[in-house]
Amino acid sequence: MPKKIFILAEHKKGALKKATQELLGVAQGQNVSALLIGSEAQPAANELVKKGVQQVFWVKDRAFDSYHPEAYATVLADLVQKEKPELLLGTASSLGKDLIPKVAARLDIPIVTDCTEFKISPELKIRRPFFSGKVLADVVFEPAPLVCITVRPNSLAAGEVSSTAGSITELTPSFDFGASPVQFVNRTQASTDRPDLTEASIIVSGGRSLKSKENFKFLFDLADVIGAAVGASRAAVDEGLASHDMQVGQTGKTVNPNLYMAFGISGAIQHLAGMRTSKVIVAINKDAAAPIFQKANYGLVGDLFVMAPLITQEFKKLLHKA
Amino acid sequence: MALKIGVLIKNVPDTNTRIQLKGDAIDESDIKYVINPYDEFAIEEAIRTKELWTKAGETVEIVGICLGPTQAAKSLRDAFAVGVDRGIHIVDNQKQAIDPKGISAGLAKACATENFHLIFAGKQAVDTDAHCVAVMVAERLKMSHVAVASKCTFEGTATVQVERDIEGGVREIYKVKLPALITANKGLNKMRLASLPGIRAASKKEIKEVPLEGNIKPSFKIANWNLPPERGKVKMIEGEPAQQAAELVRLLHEEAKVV
Repeated sequence: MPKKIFILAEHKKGALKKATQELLGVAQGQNVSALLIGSEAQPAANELVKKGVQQVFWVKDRAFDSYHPEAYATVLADLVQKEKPELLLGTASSLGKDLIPKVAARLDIPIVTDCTEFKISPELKIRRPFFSGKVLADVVFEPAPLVCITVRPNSLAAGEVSSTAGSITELTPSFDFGASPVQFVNRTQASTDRPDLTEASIIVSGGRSLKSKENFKFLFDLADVIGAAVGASRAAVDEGLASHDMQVGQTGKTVNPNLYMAFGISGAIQHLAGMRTSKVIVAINKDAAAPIFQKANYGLVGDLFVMAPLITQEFKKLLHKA
Repeated sequence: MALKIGVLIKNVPDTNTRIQLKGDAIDESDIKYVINPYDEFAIEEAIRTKELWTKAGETVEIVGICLGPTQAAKSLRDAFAVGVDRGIHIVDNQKQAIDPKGISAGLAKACATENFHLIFAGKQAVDTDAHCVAVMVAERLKMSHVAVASKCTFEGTATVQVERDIEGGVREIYKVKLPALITANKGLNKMRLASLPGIRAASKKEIKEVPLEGNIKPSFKIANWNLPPERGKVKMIEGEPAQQAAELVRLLHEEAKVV
């Protein structure tokens, strides 16, 4: 019998996020409803419906466009209580990591976050990293009527629930934003058009041997040719060569791309922990004995200042951008 | 009356620790435990806030709250050395609170008795990486929260403006009336080093041990621990730099099929 599943769907400027499509894929054949918030989200709502989500609850009110923990939690918790799903599903994104736990606490239900392997049928199978992926745990819930799960982006194949289209229900929740002790002030502009590290399918990453902030240009140039995000090791961040939001590792971001290219990164345990689930790892380092080579699929001993521009050129040729 | 600032502190394996399995459990014999790195930022922000409010004539007390086995109290002592005033240790030697639901319930129960004006916590602990417990504590206390903060600007003791890091290097800015809970991201500050008088004072500060209350039981169990699969042997690409670059790109395109 299909399970009743409720998905917290996400969009970016109206486009359904790939991470949400990954949740649809894992929920194939199940009875799925979803919540989508945002005045621009109509295209994403249409896509959810087309991909077999039976009921899409869409909050169109502009007042809800910016994330407000209390307002969003009220909408989601009310829906979950009304819809009574067996499973509340979200992405381990900025939104999912904030909203799903808040709702889980409000309803006092079990939660497992940031799963990297996940199956719903024939029975729940959940695997998630601990210690930033130094070990992986198979998690089994004690029996409960409702559980929450968030999934790491790029862990599952994108897909659809079914070919039977559902329908959109517009919601008009009331929330007194003015009376809330939390006021959204504004949001800074993204400093870059490059994808976010946690969502990127390709990452180009640099270590301390880049020597200066300016030298990261070698990596940015390469990244822009192949549509990659740019990351950095803790050593590079601590020495001011790269900003905090670029740090990959146990005290930075845990990433999960298809391709991770490490330039001049030696491979400290805490860095490896943050990128080891990458599908393909390339290590480029002057030091043939660097530990990163033990974890890489492809290794190349060489000077990164020579290699990065050459590799950029080769990709340009391949992608006909030269 | 003193304004109370709570700090949630977890004792976790140092990030340089190699985690190994012994039988079907994690081998804890060789692990060095430290304050969770994100909690260091929370502790430092609590101390800075105390300094700010004290200057404005308030009496402020910082209380560290830690849930864990007997030995976890070490992290409270380390926090005392930099300026946390006293501690509450929820002792859980039986490991009943092992999941976010249970841990947040245990912590919230202890916080509720203190009536905190402000609570700081790390955005996540680097052992379980659940990234949800502090938010759940706030919700259980019916307290406002902003998570993943990289900047806090207080307006007196009533309001704080918080910048929260989200995807893509973007920040969301919120103005929050206290009481509230804030979780710290890297970049918020850097924890000061303990001073000698601080270290001396730490051993005299009070840790109140309390039992884990509220009939908390694990809501899930770990059926298996697995070490991550090893990759096959690395394929080294030799040759002149230009050849190496061409060969790498060819392999990524034709063999690995990732570009």
